[in-house]
Parts: sequence; C-alpha cells; structure tokens
Amino acid sequence: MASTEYRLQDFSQTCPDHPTLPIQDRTGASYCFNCIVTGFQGQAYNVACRILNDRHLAEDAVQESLTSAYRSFGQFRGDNLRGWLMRIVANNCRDMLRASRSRTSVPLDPISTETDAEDGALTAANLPSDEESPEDFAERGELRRTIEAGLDSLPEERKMAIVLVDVQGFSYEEAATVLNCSVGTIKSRISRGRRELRDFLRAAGELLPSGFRQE
Amino acid sequence: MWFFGGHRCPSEERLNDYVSGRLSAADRARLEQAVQHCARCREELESLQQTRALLQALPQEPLPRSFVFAEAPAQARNEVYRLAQATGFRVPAWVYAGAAAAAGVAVIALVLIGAVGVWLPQGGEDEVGSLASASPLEMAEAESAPVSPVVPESLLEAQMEAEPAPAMERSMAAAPLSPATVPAQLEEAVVTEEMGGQVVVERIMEAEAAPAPVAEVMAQEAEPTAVPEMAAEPQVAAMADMPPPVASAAAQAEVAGESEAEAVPEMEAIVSQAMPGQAEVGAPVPSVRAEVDEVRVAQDGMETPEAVQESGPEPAATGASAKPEETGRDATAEPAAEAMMALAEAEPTEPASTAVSAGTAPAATVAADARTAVVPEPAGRNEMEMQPEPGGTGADKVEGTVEPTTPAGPIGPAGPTGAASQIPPADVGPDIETSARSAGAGGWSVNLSAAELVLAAIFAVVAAAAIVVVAMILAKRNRSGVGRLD
Repeated sequence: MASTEYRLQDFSQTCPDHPTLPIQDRTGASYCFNCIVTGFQGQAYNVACRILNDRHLAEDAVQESLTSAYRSFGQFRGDNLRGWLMRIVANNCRDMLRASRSRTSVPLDPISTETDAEDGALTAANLPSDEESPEDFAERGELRRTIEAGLDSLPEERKMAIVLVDVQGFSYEEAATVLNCSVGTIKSRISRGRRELRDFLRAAGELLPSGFRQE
Repeated sequence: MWFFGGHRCPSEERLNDYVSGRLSAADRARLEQAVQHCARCREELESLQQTRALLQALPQEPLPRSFVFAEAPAQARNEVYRLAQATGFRVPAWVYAGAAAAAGVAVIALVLIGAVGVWLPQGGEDEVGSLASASPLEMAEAESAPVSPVVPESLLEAQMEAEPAPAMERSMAAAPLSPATVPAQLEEAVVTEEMGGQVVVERIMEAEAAPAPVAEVMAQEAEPTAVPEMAAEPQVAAMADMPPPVASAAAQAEVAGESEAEAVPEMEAIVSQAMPGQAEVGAPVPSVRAEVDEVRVAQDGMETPEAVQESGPEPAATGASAKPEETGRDATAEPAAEAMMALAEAEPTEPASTAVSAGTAPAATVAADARTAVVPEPAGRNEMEMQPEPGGTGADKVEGTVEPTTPAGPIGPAGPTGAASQIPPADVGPDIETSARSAGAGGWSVNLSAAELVLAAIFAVVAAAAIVVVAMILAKRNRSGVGRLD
C-alpha cells in the first residue's frame, strides 16, 4: 500500500470521514494521520493479536504504536509506510512479549470462537456457514486453537516472521524491513518456523482435519 | 539433501521457497519433477503446503474499536525531544561509550586521589619517614605482638655495665623500707629489670609458661630489696644474668596484663616470704593490680575515653605503694590516657624533663619516656627518674616502665634505660608516634601499601570496564532497534 494514498494535497486539507490530523514526514510531505490509521489499523491489530495472542494486549500495543508513530512521523522518509508502521507495531509487541514473560499471566479472554459466542460477538470469520455442520464448526475452532498454540510454541523471532509472511501475507523483503533483518534471515526463520509448526501439528494430528491427518 | 536415485533432492529452504511462491517458473518445474521421484520429498512438500494453508486460513480478528484519533495525541515530552524527533537526530553510540569511559576515568582518578591523599602523611619529614617505613602489615603484627625487643641484648648488657642504674640507687635510698613499701620495692625490682633492658621483659613474657620458678626467684629477688644498703648494680647484673623464669610476678602482671590473676597470688607469696608477719602484706596487691589496669588502659589507648572522664588528674595516685587504697582503676586509667595525649602533643626534640614537669600524672612521665625512646635524651631520663613524687618515688618509675609495655607495637627502648639513648632513631619503631598522632591529634593517618594501591587501581579499572561494557550494551540495544520507534 503506497503511502501516497494518504497524502494530502495541502496541509490544510480536510478529510470528510474523520477529524483531519495533518502531519508531515521527513521530506515535508503532508499526510492525514487518521487516514493512515484507518488504512492500517486492522492489519496492525491482527499482527499484534497473532504475536501477542491476547486481544487486550494487542489493543494496547496498537494504540501505543499509533501514538508513537504520530510522534515520530517526522522520521518517516516517505517510502514504505506499511513497513514503517508495522515495524513500530512489531517493536511494541516484542517489548510487550518480553515484559509479559517476566510476569506470567493467563489471559482472561483468549482468542477463541467460544469466547466470541459467549460474548455474543460472533464475527463473520467465526460464524458457521450454512453448509457447515456443527461438527465442522467445532472442528474448525479446535484447529484454530491448535494452530495458535503452535504459533505460541515458536521462538519469538520465528513466530513474528511466520505471522508476517504466512498469516499476514507480507513479502520476505517487507518482513525483513519490519523485523529489521536481512531477507536471508527471514528465509531461515520461515523455514525453521514452518518445520517446527508442522511437527507441532503432526504431534496433534488427532485435531487435524481428515485431509491433513496422516494415514 | 542427496537422493540415491541419481538426482538431487531439493533442500528444505528450496521447498519453502516453492511453498512461498518465490521460485521462478523454471525452478518450479525442476523442483516438481524432482519431487515426483522422491516420496519423502513429496511428503515433505505436502506437509509444508498444508501448514502454510492452515496459517493462511486463520481468520482475521475484527477490530474491537476504531483507533482513529479524535484529536492530536499529546506531543513530545519537551521541545528538545520533539525537535530531535522531527529532525531525526539520534545520539551516536560513541557518545554513550565516551561518557562511560569518562565516568570510568573519573572513578579511577577519584580512587587514586583518595588513596594518595590517605597515604600521604600529614606531618613533617620525620613523620613521613616513620609512616613510610611502617607498612600496615608491620603495624598489624606490631599490635598483635605483646612486646618485641628492639635493642640487642649485647648492647643492653654493655649499657648496664657502663651505667649502674643510679636512679635505682637513688630511689632505693630515698624510700626507706617499711612493710608498707615492700611491694614498691618489688616493683622497683621490676624497674631494675626494665632498666636492665628489653631482654628481661622478653624473658618475663617467656616466663609466663613456668610460674612455679618465678615465685622462687622472686623470693630471692625480694630479699635484697629489704636491705637498703644494698646497691642496685649487683641486683641489675644479677637480673640481667637471670634465666627467663627470673621474671617477677609483678612484672609479669605488668607486662602481660592478662596474667594478673596468677601474678597476685605469686606476689602475696613473695611478700609473705620476704616480710613474714606483716599485716600490710596484702595491701599493696591492689596497687600492682592498679598498675596492671593502667597497662590495660594504655593498651586500650583512646578506646576508653570514659576512663579519662571519670576522674580528674590525681598526682597523689602516683604513690601507689604508699597509698595503695587510693589507686583505683579509674585513677590510673586517666593518667595513662593523658600520657597518650601528652605523647601526641610533645615535640620530637623536646626533652623528657619538660614533659615530666608539665604533666603531673605519672603516666605523663611514661609519655616522656616514650618520647625519650624516640629521641634519646639521657639527661631527661635522669631528671625524670629523679622527679620526686609525694607518696613514693618508686611508683612513678614503676609506671614509667609500664608504658613501654603497652601494645604500641614494636616499641624500641623500654622506658628510662640508658640503652635507649644509644638506639639509633632508625631502629625505633614509628608506631608510638603514629598511634599517638592518630589518637591525640585526631589526624587521619591510614597507611596504604603499594599492594593496596595496586588493588585499588585494579578495582577502579574493573569498575570502569564494567561501566563501559554496560554502555556498549546499551548502545548496541539502541542500534538494534529494540524499543525504537522505527
């Protein structure tokens, strides 16, 4: 997503959808920061959710990341807005992971379909389709928890690389920008992360759908 | 991965590139062809594809709320920070490293300055020499050692032959014998021993292990003191030639300070042998104990300031033999502390007589003796020993001989001896001056040896290195992007 989409013609230009929050990057180009927030908040939140595996922590991380991005927008060079923004999110998530490691806590609201059903907040992603039987719906929820558990079992850097590339669809180069490392490092992390995750899913083969179960 | 079928199996990374769609069309076709000939590679590829498909199938989490800002968030904490953020200014890593290095150098400088400041003496050149010649190890050994003779035995014997202890003769003549003064005579005998040199003192210390012959010898020793006409010289000579057990019980108590429990009965036995039937035999014993207490107080030095405050100057207490009941623990402790003070304030070249005339307490004469030991002054010694005190002349001399036995360390001469005047100043231990200055003048005179300086420097270097390492870690953390905004 090019950063030019969020540029303003003029610093005094107003946006019709939300309060205009003009801001300038390092090159002097003007942006509406709320436009940027609207364009990336969903992806930032999902990245934070997959990395942290905690919705509330992810919300805090996104809020803090956007605030930091607004304050430090003067450092943005104007080339890769998504990579720059996701880097802030990834750094905040990394800090939160390390902080939460020192004080172990069990999230009261884990990411699960059951919680959504209990809260009455079933989303389109969690709603059972018309063709899907209750058994398939339950199996899908179980598979999702298994995958999330497998992601949680990965080391921090491999987990972030897998989330960015395989879950969020980032390219290797973009993931390297976000994680501040080389493309080769990303390839290595992806390769080892996939293998470890595959082994984890194989160990939990009973939970896999019939198509993924070993004969 | 090599396969035995004649073709090369694709590596795991290549399989992952295939799964991620990062291979060109030609590479994709080549890999698909290779995988078809290898069931293991095919299974591997399928498992990776399934894993990636599962990850991609994870649903997107819905936003709990909109993160759009209703208003601009609070700006930077201060103007400088905002300006730095706007301009992209970042403190280079070498700034942190330099600051850490400067801090380390400052620490080293502080440690070295502090060490040198402590090490340098606060007095004149004499004190410099005395302080420099005494290392802390030597001082510690000196404090732990009871008495270490510095004067060679041959020198002492020669000195005794040349000078037949006139002070002893005078004191013996001035103090007529009476039952009440018998302990004083015994103490004078101890004085004679002291005048005989440090060797006797050393033998006294050695004689502690054999108390039985001490009483016998003391009986022999006490008998001549009962005859006023007897000169002291043969006595001194006899004392000098005595074996180590010759040490008297009184001197044993005075020197050791710890063996008074054994010394007092021995004294009683001696007196009973020397003066049978006298009712006052037991009375002087407290005086001996008082002298022992004084020795202890002198050992304690300034550690017992309350002893100084408990009683004022009491010159009459110097007549310990004449009025033994007046010599209490506090009465003798105070002069001993004053002796240390007088020693601290006395000029190095001041004659001992000056100190004697200035101080009314007998311990002041002790201080003068100590000073005399450092700066030989035979005239002062004689004058001091001839200094009459109401109540008995022997007591002050006894006390004068007590002081050198204080744990001031390797005290060279042992009181008012002629041998002390011939001892070169270099042989005299500097600890008397050192302890006196530190106690009396209140100066901060702590010696640091070269080894301690080296240890301090090593400690400072290690501390500086630790600071630099921490700074480098912080700088690396700053470079690595951890916690950075972009």
